[in-house]
Formats: sequence, C-alpha cells, structure tokens
Amino acid sequence: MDENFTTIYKQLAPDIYKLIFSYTLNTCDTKDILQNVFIKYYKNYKRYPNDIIQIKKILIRIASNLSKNFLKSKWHSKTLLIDDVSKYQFNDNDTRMVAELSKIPHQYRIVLYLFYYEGYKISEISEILKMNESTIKQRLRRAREKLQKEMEI
Amino acid sequence: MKNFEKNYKSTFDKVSLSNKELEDLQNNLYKKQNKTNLRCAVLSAIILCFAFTTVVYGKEIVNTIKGFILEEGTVELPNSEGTVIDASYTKFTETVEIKDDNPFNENVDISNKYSDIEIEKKLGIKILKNPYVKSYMIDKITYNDNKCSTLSFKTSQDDYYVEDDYWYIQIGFLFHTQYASEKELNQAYSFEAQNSECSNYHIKSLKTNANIQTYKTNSGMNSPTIAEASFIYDHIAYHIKLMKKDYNSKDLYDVLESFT
Repeated sequence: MDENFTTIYKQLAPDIYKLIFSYTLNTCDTKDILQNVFIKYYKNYKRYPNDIIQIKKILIRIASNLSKNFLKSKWHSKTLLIDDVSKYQFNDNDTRMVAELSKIPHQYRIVLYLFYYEGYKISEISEILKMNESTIKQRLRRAREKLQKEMEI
Repeated sequence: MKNFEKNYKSTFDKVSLSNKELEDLQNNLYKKQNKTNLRCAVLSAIILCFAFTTVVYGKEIVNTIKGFILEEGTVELPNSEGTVIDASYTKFTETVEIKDDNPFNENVDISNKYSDIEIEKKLGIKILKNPYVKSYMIDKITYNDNKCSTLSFKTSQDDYYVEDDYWYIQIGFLFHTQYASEKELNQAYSFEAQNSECSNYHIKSLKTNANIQTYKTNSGMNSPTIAEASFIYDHIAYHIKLMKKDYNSKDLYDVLESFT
C-alpha cells in the first residue's frame, strides 16, 4: 500500500471510526467495518479525486453503506456492552448518551453524527448520503424528539 | 438542545482508537489486501495454466489455418478448402491490436464483420454461439515468421448498446495456431482492472468455470459497472465484457449461460 493511501488512512481513520461507532455502538464490530471500509476504498482509490475533503465524504458514504449492511445481516445485541466501551473512560453522562442512542434507529444515528459532531449542513449530508434533504430533516427531527423525551433535553 | 450537542460531542470525543490500535488495523489491512492480490494472482495463474495446457490441442484444432498471404490491403485466411475471408488492412507486418476506444487505429481499417457460422465455415473450427452476438470482427492477428500464430475476434462495439441503460456487451474469442510462440501460448485475456473484485462462476450450460472481475468506470455513485469474464472451452479462450448502469451479477451469468 503506498504512502498516499497510508497518509489518508492515518488522517481519516479516527473520524470514520467514530462514524461507524455511532452506528454499531460496539468496538469490535466497528473495527471490523473500519477495515472493510479502507479495503473497499483502497481498491479504487486512484480513481478518486486527490482532495481530502472529498475523500472523507466518500469514506463516510462507504462506511454508512457497510454499517447498514452489517446491521441488516447480523443479529446484534441491543444491550450496551459496558465492558466493550469501558476503555473510552465514559462518565455517567456518556454511558447514558450511548444507551439512549442505542434505542433510536441506526439511520437516525448517522444523521445525528454528521450534523452534530462533524458539523455538516443538511445539504451536505444529503449530498454525502445521496438522500433527499427532506429525509435528512425528518430523521434529524425524529431523532431529536426521541432523545428529548428520554434525556429531557 | 445546545446541552445535548455539547454532551454528544463530549461523548464522541472520547470514542477513539489508540495509536497501537490504528497501527494494528493498518497492518491487518496490508495482510488482507495481500491475500486479495494473491487470490487474483492465483486465479490469473490458473487461467494461464489452462492456456498453456491447451497448446497441444490448440495446435490440432486450428491447423486448418495454413498461413497468411501478406499483401497490403488484404489478408487471406485460407482453410483446407481454400476459401478466404476478406479483411482489409493497410498494414499488418506487426501485431495489430484494436483498442476499445479506437476500433480503427491509424494502421488498420476493419470494415468487415462475420457471423459465427461464417467464421466456423471459413476457418474449419467450432466456436460457441451466443444470442447476444450478431457478428464478429477480427481483433488481433499475431505473426511468427509471417505465419499466423494467434487470431482473435470480438464483437463490434455497436452491436449491443442501449444508451439509456448504458448497457453494452462485448464478446470475443482467441485461439493459437501451430506457429504460436511460447510467450503467446502463455497469454490469455488479461483483465483491465488490477485491483477489482475477483470471483468464480460455474457455467452450467458448458460445465466449465469462468473467472470474473467487476469494477466501476469511475468513482461516481451512479457510474456504470464493468464486469469481465474469461473461460476456456474446447481449446478456445472466450472473453466477455459487460457494462451496465444498474448491474447485477445475474446479468453476467445470463450471458455466460447463453453460450451453446
């Protein structure tokens, strides 16, 4: 694997890891999916534009698709594995956040992550995930409603 | 909601990979990619082995091609009955290869197409038929000591192309004569993309296996997929190239199963 790819991997793997975690809420599965994302990216990466912002969007899309497929194909525990995430040094608020996120549909979680953590606009999220803006807004609104109810925000 | 946003960011700030984990994952990536490369290399090597083992039979089957008369403007492909195919070239003292994007390169002017029955009759060989193919044109002729050593045909690009669906099929076949060099005998069709997904498919109608690779034409989400398949049947190497926007592997399998 060449230097260019390695640079991209080191720069973007941590962000893509968080994104996948927002789907799976599970460290082991997140690592597996992360590997598959970069393997998939590596197969065609010379065809992609040489622009880190665009590359990140491409990786987000690949990660989103692979995470969705993973959640469809494998039964996954809905119980938060406390031991699994203890390495992140979560406090009570963090543990509660993850627990509440696990109750909302995964397709809402990706939108929450891209909006609140990555800071993308609705139009940008729509472009990345290839979805209508209205769908993005709806998912964001529904995620907020569910979390508001549970977390009294 | 600002409180939520603050808590959310704080939680995900803590979700991270250590440097060691990042490095371990990177090493695993290398290992997995090397395994994939090795698998493709092994598959390619198997295809090459098949090509090599067809040497003896290839010579027997196609020795009806006795040779070429090199004349500027025409080439004759005589069989035992002495009939010829008309194929016009302006120059063929070296290997002439027709590129996909330029079927008429500066040295070659191919204007003649032949049906599979015509080719069989003229050359005295048996080839597989496929309903997706209307006609073939000569793709490549290689010479050793002015004698035809390798001959291949492929379908014209226009034969099956539906613009709206971006649906395009190209089928070709290749065989060697008794004049083929060792190097030529070890060559089979090579796939265009090196880092594409490899797989195998058993063609039930022919009871033989095809090696398949698929890849996208470019990085766009809606870009067409190209699927290539190669197999050897009765000492002739066949190659199928299919391009389709909403590609499904069944599309390629249908083409492969259509050979008779």
